[in-house]
Amino acid sequence: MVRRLSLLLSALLVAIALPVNADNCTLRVAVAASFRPALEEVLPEFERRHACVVQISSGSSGVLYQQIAHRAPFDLFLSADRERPELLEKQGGALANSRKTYALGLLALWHPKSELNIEQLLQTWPDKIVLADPKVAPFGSAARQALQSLGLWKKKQTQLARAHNAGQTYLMLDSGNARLGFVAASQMQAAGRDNYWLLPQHLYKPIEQQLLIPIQSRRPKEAQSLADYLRSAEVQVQLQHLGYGVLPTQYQSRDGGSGL
Amino acid sequence: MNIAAADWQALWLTLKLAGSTTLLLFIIGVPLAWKLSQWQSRWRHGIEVLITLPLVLPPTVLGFYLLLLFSPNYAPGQWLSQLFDGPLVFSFTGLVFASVIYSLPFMVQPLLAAFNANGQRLTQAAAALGIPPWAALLKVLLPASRAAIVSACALTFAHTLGEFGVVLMIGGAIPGETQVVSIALYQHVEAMEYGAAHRLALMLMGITTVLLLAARWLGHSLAPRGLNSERAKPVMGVLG
Repeated sequence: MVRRLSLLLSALLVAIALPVNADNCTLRVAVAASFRPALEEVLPEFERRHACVVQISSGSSGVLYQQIAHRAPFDLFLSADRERPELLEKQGGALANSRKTYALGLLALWHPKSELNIEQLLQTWPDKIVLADPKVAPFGSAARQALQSLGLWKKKQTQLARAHNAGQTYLMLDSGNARLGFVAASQMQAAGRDNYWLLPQHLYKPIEQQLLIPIQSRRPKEAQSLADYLRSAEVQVQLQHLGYGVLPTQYQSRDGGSGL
Repeated sequence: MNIAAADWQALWLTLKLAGSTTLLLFIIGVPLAWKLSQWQSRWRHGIEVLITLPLVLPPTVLGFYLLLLFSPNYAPGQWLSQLFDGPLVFSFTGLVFASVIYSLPFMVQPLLAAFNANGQRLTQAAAALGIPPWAALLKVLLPASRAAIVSACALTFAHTLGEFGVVLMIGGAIPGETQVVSIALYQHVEAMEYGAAHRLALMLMGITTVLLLAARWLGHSLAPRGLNSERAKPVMGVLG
């Protein structure tokens, strides 16, 4: 009985360990949770062109960074910031020259109906203001810079509630538990909401989102194609409709993502 | 070993949260477990399953539904807001409210096991002597269930110390108000401040270990002789 069971178990283990359709192309992409909807929007076209299936794992950039630094088997890393890809590159965790900016996040303020402008509203707001945690979330640190630029950071300190990331900040506002807060323009676009203002871009440092190909990538060529595709003019135009900014020319890829 | 002021504050806040939750749950849990153990109805199983639910639901999901419960957009949230004199989200009161739900099974289960084992016999004996039911509970059943009470309180306290997902959803990480150790720890890890994370984790582990050891020792020394039933043993097993 025990022997039979152990045989069965080993057979199961072997079955699990065997790659499914070993000769097919599957690309494993680790993507920051906030970019996932946009990625899913533009992926079908890529998959159609390259006969490659993309497996998405999403999470916070910080957690994904740690997994990739410990050699988790991802072929491409799309971070929501610039800092973590830079760090991975420094630690020798990236293929040479694979770190590139692929999107520009835009900071937005979710606000209730009001006669006031951004600055007055923030000034006089009596309740809690939600933002993502400035220490770990790119949109949080952009919100902090914007508040600092407006001279309100210290003044509003006791009213600030920190959600863990942009997704949770949105949930706080969407569920009505807070009525004013800093979110990503892409979230508002994805939800089809218009009760937001874009913060003037001179109030905060650009939220550059960078990608890289991890050193452990099993399919660096296909990963490169996907990276080029994301940075191609056609996808960048789509991203602008999804609430992302225009990539300054110095970031743009010169070839149109023809890839393979 | 230098720990930042914010981390000490988080530690103190966590102990305060675990302490108030344990006290409140004890006050709620004893009559609840007693009523359940006395109750001979088909509904009893349903209620017991309901009490166990917080064990099954992922904490972030529990937090998500609490967020909906607290929302001023709906009647329950408005009512809670009036009852607690302000919105529950982003507040210490809200965390206590959530922890009471989150740790409920850890208080009720051990008590229920003990009351099931000894309750019938002891209350019948007390009734035969003309002692009213509530006095039987206080004077006979509770003293006989000392070990289970200690273990229920220790489990509840420890479980609340490690609470993370729920607080992440409804807390807002406000220092001195909702930034408990588990949140501060996670923030350190996410911000790549590993040294600070290790120090804080070590403190938490130390406190929890001492607490559980003390509870075990207390439980053993309080275990009533002659009433040490087979059914109360697995409960202690959780601590050992």
